[in-house]
Amino acid sequence: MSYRVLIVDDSSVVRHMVRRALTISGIEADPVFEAGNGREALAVLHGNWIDIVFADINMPLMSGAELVEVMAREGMLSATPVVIVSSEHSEKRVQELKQLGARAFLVKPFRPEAIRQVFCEVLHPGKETHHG
Amino acid sequence: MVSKPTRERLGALVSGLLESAAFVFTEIVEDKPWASGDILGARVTLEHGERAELSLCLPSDLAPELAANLLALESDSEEARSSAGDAVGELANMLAGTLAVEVFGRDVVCKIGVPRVAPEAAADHDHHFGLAVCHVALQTDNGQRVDAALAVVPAETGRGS
Repeated sequence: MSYRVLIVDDSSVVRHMVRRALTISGIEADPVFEAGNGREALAVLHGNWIDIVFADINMPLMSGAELVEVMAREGMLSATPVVIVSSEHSEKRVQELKQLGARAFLVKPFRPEAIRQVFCEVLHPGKETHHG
Repeated sequence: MVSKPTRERLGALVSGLLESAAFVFTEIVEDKPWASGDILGARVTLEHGERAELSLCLPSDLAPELAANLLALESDSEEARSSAGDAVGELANMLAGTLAVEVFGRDVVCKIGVPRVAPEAAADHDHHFGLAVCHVALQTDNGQRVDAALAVVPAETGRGS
């Protein structure tokens, strides 16, 4: 089984880093969609089933926080987990985003093991590992 | 600003980031004017009441190597060259995230701007480096210089924004 993943970041370098970390960590991600901001992400989400979203906070047109808010209000999308991938990591910021609906937080720079751990915690809570 | 980082602390943050994210090893060296060569600078604003600007400057020819290491590419590949500016901006963004917590504290939401990356003239670089509230020069094990600085800027007029 492969997971359908959406990576949302205005930096192509970060999108590449997340994609590579997923591969190295042994997560079967296919297809992997990419979007440069929240608006593009919503377009992908409205046209495709997505298992998990990795999203930056600061992006032009629509931020990661706004994306999480919109998804939380939309019935079908509210169940799609969003992991925030950001360099911002004050406790207050993390709490705010989780209150908006973000399921987990990954601080950049991160190691592949960290993305695997977050992936498993979000999609397979209670299990140590997944089939990967 | 809750606390201004020391030169040593800023140097340790930059060094740790370059090592963990891009596999580049550095050590703090004496500040001196930028001798020659093209400089690529990334600037990121941090705002919470006060507004500060973080800059990360390095030789232009180091940038593709950083991109290659970040993305596991060959350093002479076209993708590494085309991603060089984005990679330096992302490193500055990562540094800003860590610095924001140290400067403004863990319990506040500090707004971090989008990185702005552009070539810099050596004279401009040295001038702004000198005006910073905290700055540090580092050198890679290949002898390439990396500078980081934190400056306080007026709220509406971040340089280059």
